[in-house]
Amino acid sequence: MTTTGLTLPRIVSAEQRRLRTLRSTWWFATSAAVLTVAIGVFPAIGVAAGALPADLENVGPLGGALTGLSITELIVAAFAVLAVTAEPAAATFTAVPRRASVVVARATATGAAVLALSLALTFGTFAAAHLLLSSAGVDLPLTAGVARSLSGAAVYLSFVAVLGVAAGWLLRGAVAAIAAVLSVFYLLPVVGLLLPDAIAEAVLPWLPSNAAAALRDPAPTLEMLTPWIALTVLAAYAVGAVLLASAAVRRRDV
Amino acid sequence: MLDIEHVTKRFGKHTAVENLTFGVRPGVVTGFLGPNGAGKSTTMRIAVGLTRPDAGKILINGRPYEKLAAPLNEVGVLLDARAVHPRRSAYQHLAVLATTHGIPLRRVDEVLGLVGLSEVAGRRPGGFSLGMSQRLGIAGALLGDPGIVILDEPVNGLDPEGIRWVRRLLRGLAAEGRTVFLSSHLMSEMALTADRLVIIGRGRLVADVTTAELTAQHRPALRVRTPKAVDLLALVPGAADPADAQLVTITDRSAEAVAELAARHQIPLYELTPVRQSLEDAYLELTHDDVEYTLEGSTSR
Ligand SMILES: Nc1ncnc2c1ncn2[C@@H]1O[C@H](COP(=O)(O)OP(=O)(O)O)[C@@H](O)[C@H]1O
Ligand SMILES: [Mg+2]
Repeated sequence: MTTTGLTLPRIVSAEQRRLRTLRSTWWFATSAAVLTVAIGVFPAIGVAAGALPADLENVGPLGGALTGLSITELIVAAFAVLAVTAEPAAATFTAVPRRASVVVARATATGAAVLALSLALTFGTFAAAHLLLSSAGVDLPLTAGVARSLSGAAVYLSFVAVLGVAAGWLLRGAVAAIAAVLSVFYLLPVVGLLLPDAIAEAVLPWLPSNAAAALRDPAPTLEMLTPWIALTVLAAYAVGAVLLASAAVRRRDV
Repeated sequence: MLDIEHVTKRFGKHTAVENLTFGVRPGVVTGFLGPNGAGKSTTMRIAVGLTRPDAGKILINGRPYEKLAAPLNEVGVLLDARAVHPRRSAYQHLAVLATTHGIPLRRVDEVLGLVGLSEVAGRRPGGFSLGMSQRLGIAGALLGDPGIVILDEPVNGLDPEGIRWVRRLLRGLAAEGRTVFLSSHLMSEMALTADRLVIIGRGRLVADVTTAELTAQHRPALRVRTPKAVDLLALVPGAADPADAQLVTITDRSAEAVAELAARHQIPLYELTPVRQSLEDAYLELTHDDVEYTLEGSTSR
C-alpha cells in the first residue's frame, strides 16, 4: 500500500473531485455549451437560410463561431468565482493546512476544466458553422490562423477562470469577485483610453483584454502583441493573480 | 499529545485567549470547559492552523499543524458541523477530503457506517438535521484514523441516544490510547465523559483538574429538619440555620448515615434532603466572574 499523506497531485485530484461532485458544475457546463453553440451558429444559420448573402465576408474567417464568447465569459467567471466563495474554507484548510497549495490546485483544476470544455465548444461551434455554411455552398476553411484563434479563445476563457478563482480568494464575496473579473476586461481598457497617447500606445497592448484579443482575433492588428507573447503575458498575469491570492489567504484567519 | 503554550489571541481590542498553557495527554478524554465566549473554539482553531495566534503556539506531537505531512492521519477535527457545502453529498464531501491524502475511498464507507450515516451517504448535507451534521463532522474527524481527536461541542444537537453514542465512542478512542480533546459549555455533559477537565473563563485558565478531584472538592450536604436540631448537631458536623431553629445543614455525611444515627438517638426527622453541590455548581462558581454575557437580572449564583 502506498503511504497516505498530502501531495500536490492528490490535492489537485481532490479539487477536481470537488468540481465534478456538484450538480451546479454540470449546469454551468450545459448552459455554457448551449449558449456558446446557439449564439455561435447564428450567423451561419443566417447564411444557410438565405437571410445573409452566401459570402464569407459576412461571417468572417471563423464563420461567426465566437459570437457568443462574451456570454460564455460571464458564465465562466461566475463558475470560477463560486468554486471558491461557495466552498466553506475551514474543512478544506484543516485537511490541507498548506493553503497556497489549495489555491494553486483549485486554480489548476478550474482552469483545466474550463480549457477542456472551451476547446470542445469553440472547435465544435466552428464545425457546426462549417456544416451550415457548406450547405449554402460557402467553404469555411480551418486554417492555421483559425485554429490559433479558436484555441486562443479557449485559452482566454481558461484565463478568465483562473482570474475568477483568484478574485474569489481575494475578495471572498461572489458579487464583488465577479465584478472585479469583469472590470479587468471591460473597465481597464476604458481607463487605458484616458491615458495620454504616448503612454497608452505602450501600455494598451499589454492589458489582459488586449493580450487576449491578440490570441483570439483571427486577423490581429499591427499594434497587437504576437500570439506567443500574448500567451506568455496572459500566463504571467494568471500566475501573478494566483500568487497574490495565495499570499492573502496564507496570511489571514479562516 | 497536544501542547498549548502561552497562546494569546486578540480580536481588535478584545482578548479572546490570554496566555493559555496546558497539555492534552493521550489515553484519556480531556474536556475543555468554559462558558460561551470563553475562547474554546478559538483555541481549537489555533490548534489546527485556521486562526493565527498573536503569541504562543500549539504543537501537535511536538510540531505545528502546518508542518504535518498527513494532517488527517494525525489529527481529526470537528469545529463547525454546518461548514460543509450544502449541495455536495455526504459521501463526496468525505471523498474529497480523503483524496487530498490518498486515503482509500473504502475508508469513507467505513466511517459513514461508523457514525450511522450509510443510508444517507448520497444525500446532500444541506437537508441534514444538526445531529446528522454532527455525525458527518465526526466521520470527517475519524477519516484518517488519527491519534488525536479534537471536537468542538460534538454533542450539540444530538438526541440522548446520540449523546450516549458519542460518549461511548470517545471513551473507546481514549481507551485505544488516542488523545481525545473535546469542548463543551455544559459541566453535566463533561462530568460523564471526561477524565480530565481544563476549565477556562474569558480566555484564561481557571482550573486544570481531574474530574475526580473536582468532585471530591465539592462534597454533598444534607438539609435536615428536626425538632431536636441541637441534639443532632452534637453528633454530626453541620450548621444551624439562623432563621429557622428546626433547620440544620449537615456536611460530610451520607443521608443513610444521618438517618440511622438519628434513629439510634431517637431524634425524629421531618425532612432529609441531599443538597448536593453539583459539579455544575462547582463549575459555575469557578467561572462565575468570567461569564462574559450574563442575562440581565440573572447574575445570581
Ligand atoms: N473571528 C472573530 N472575530 C472577532 N471576535 C471573535 C472571533 N472569533 C471569536 N471571537 C470572540 O472571541 C471570544 C471567544 O470566542 P470563542 O472562542 O468562540 O468562545 P467559545 O468557543 O468558548 O464559546 C468571544 O468573545 C468571541 O466573540
Ligand atoms: Mg465555541
